[in-house]
Amino acid sequence: MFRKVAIIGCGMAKFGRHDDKTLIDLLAEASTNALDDTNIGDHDINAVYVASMLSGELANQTAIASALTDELGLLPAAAERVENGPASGGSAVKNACLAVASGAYDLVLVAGGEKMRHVPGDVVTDLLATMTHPSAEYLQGVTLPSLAAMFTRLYMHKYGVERKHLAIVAVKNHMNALKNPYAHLHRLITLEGIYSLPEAEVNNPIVAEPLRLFDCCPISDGAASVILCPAERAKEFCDTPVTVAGFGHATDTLAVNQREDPTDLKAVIMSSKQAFEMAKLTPKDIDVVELHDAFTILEIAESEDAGFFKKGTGHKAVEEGVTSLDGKLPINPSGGLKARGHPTGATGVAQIVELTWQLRGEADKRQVPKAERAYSCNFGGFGNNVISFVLKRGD
Amino acid sequence: MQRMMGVKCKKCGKIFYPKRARCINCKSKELEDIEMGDKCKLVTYTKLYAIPMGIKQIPLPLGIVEFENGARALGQITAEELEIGMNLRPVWGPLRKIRGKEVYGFEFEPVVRKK
Repeated sequence: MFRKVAIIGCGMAKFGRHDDKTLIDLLAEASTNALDDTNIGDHDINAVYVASMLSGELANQTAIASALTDELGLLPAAAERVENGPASGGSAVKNACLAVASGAYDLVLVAGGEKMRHVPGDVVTDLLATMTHPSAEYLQGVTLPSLAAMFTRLYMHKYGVERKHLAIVAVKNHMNALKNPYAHLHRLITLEGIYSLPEAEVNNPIVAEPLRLFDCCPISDGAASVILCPAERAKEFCDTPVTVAGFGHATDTLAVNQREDPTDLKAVIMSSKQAFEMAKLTPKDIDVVELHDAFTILEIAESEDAGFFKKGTGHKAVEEGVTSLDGKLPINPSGGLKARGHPTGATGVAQIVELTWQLRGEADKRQVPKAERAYSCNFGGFGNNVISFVLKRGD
Repeated sequence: MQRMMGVKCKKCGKIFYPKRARCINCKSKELEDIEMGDKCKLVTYTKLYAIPMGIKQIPLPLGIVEFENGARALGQITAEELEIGMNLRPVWGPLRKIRGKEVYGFEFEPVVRKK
């Protein structure tokens, strides 16, 4: 039988541009913040999981788990890097959960990070595109924004989503990020400025029709870290533990063209279903949500496929303010990938950090009142590898 | 002339593009090569302005097409005016440069087709 797993500490290194810091600096900063967030004292950490998608390609450093464990003085803890595309962070947290749940380890540190801003944008875009199908997609010049654009067009065609709905997601997430000191983009944007006024054409240029600049997340540097232990020991290390009530992990076809209905995100559906079943909860029980809005359409589609809204109605919920910070189901109070930023390896861990703060009541000006249960979705590839978590306050 | 090839599962009949090691539908590894044919329609598309390295054309039209056998493929479209449902056919041509080397594959060109 599984042991219950608790989150006893979390920390971040600000997302943004860090010309003066290395990837290890960022990972160490987030991890130190997480360690300082616990009453762990000089207890030994048994294992370290480090999430990074492109440390070798972008930061010129491989086997970074060894480097971080040494840097943090955590020797001789077991250490390994987890690479699972943009879902690396969620994968690392899941592997850490399994390690604790199995009884193999008691104290586990997870750190996710990426350093991407120092490399030209077209190089990063091309490296990110190597996660697509090598012959059926990459060879053709496909990029992640182009896949999102084709997905968006289908969604518009099938469900009546309009550019306006996408713009509302961006405005909402930028607004939330203004209240998050760790967010990459602290920039107020308005619906008029990016959508309705004539100058919106200039402010918000086309990236891949019908997607525009403000439909896409930025490329960021940054790191995030969490520390896990068995729930039965959580009170030793933390006053307000958060429990991992459930997780799910599922895959879908690598090539988007091979999906029966390309507008269905099957791995989101499956991983969410697993997470809710393990937690013995339903989407109706959730108070706050972090979704993987690498593109605005993904927040809408994931909110449906995770089970919060009926398929084809997520855009209406956004328009009605249901998903705003003061709405019935706040989505991405952190600012999401859109405005908190997307250092690929860090994102899945940062989602868990944000939700832990929310469940402890420590999210300051972006606090969702009385948040007791939370859900996250970390989306890899173009939906071919997805990890979902259900977290709850206390036991 | 290059023919665009997919695979068909001998057990369940499912058709895929591109090939794979085992059937996604029934797990069989008995797959046979089949011709995709020259008739397909545009399912969705984009014009990509933020192009990756190794591509010169801005914007780059990309789309997902569906063949008469029901299988779909993704590729560059050699047309400026794009519309969901338009008739296309696969043609062999240069796609992009990868690490300085020109790579070839199938792209899709519009055709006027009688009903």
